[in-house]
Amino acid sequence: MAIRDITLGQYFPGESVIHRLDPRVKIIATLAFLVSLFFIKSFSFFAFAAVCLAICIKLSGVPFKFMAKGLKAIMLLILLTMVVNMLFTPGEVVIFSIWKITITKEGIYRAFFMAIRLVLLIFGSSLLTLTTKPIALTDGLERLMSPLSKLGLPAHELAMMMTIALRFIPTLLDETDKIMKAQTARGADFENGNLKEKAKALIPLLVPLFVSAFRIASDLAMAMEARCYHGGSGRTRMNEMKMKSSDAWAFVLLVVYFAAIIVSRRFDLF
Amino acid sequence: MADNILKIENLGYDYETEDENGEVIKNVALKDISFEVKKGCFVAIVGSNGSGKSTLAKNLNALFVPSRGRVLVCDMDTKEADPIDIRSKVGMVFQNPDNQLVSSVVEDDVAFGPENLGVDPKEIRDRVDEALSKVSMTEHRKKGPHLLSGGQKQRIAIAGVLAMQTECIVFDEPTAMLDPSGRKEIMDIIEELHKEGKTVILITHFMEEAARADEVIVLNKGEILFDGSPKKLFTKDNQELLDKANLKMPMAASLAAELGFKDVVTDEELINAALK
Ligand SMILES: Nc1ncnc2c1ncn2[C@@H]1O[C@H](COP(=O)(O)OP(=O)(O)OP(=O)(O)O)[C@@H](O)[C@H]1O
Ligand SMILES: [Mg+2]
Repeated sequence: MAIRDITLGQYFPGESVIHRLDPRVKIIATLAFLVSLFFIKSFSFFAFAAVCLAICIKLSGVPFKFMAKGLKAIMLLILLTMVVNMLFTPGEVVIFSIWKITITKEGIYRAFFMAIRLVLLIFGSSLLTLTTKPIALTDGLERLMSPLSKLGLPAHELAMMMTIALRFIPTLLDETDKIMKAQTARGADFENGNLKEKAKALIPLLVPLFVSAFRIASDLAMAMEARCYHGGSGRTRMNEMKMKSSDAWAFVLLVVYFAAIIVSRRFDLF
Repeated sequence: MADNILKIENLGYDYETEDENGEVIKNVALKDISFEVKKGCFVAIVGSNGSGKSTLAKNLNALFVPSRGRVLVCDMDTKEADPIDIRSKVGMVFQNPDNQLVSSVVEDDVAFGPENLGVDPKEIRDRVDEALSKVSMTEHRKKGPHLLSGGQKQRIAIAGVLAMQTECIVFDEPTAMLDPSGRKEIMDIIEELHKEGKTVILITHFMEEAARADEVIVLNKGEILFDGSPKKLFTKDNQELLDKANLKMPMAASLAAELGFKDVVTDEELINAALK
């Protein structure tokens, strides 16, 4: 059944330098990379960013094909962005115009600019999820956010929610699968019909699913309590996070990269 | 007194639910329950559906607190003591293997209890490794629980409690949702733990499992109907009592009764008696 194949935040197991980096460093680096893409004004520095990212991908050992798979899902979005930008960017240098549609040089420039930015955004963020175990990701986020918990941000609770969500996504998918099969056996049809009919067919699926989700939640809460769970205070962690020298180097490189992007804004390179 | 892990005195427990009119209905689930559990004992609790077994179990580690009477865990009253202190003495394994694992990685799940207790990270590592090897799940430590069989998930749940190093473990029908081979795996682990000196309380529907305990408590409609050794319980004289509680003799015991063997309740004892 196809529903089982949906993988969220896929992890590509490996032992590369990138895999071994501290998740906190990876999260900060990814954020910095994503932000940097919005500072870039010229194609040449997009090329620079792309080369930097390509080196990281190469180091991670994740096959390029595997990364490109993530792109397929949003290809439509990219194309749409391109078309919209091409049509609606005001510009002087008209390349051609038919009827009411005018394509300008600026439009084409912008379209490609946005497309490249999107592709780099996707690649950059999927490199993080592909090389970091979900559990390390939530741990890293919890620790990065923990200074904010003094300001009232429930850092531990958010991380715990993510951990539990990750744990139960497969369980709930299994459950959905089971209910779907049971309902299909009783004559339910999830594939055919118009939108309204399809939506209606979902009701006998969603109701039992909610019931079982609540059942799981109440069982799990009891089990967590029985194992002495009492929130984040006084809690220790088995996996301590320690910055290694490779993490320090990654940080230095990140700063250099970011500085280069900032400086680039001062020059009108093309 | 020191060798009593659990002391239950006239325990009563009511569920309170509201009907359509918002009126509180009291459902008396446990009535006047008293017994003691000594360190290192293996106690089985049996009874038909709705007889109050799970309610009793939850009263043993402060998940529920008594409506009447009291429960003492290592001389601490569950109504007064910090629940964390109680739960670090009495651990619990539940029926549904799917709904009691927290983390998407096996070893992180086993670490959950000790992490909550604030144990030092290095010691958690040691405890997790030891607990996983005790339930023979070391090779699966990096896997996601959804990739394991029901019996394997239940073994992880047991490892999770072992890592907390509690004095006593309460098992609430741990084998009810497993196939026969999974059931045997779990029973073997439970017996092994008992041999190593853990205090074990096993709630079960299977009389063959109860027959292996030192002591059996029969619950019926929230009351104790019988409290004694399995050899005393599973005799022909008690047929009426067993019928009342809606329980069946274990196969070995009823066969032994037919054959005229005395003091035989488990399969091994039957084989031994037959070989004599
Ligand atoms: N959450 C609840 N609210 C109200 N009544 C409850 C609740 N849980 C259980 N009961 C009632 O309390 C009684 C004892 O239930 P309990 O779950 O302890 O039985 P049990 O012996 O564990 O049964 P089973 O073999 O089905 O697990 C039953 O009559 C049940 O209907
Ligand atoms: Mg029960």
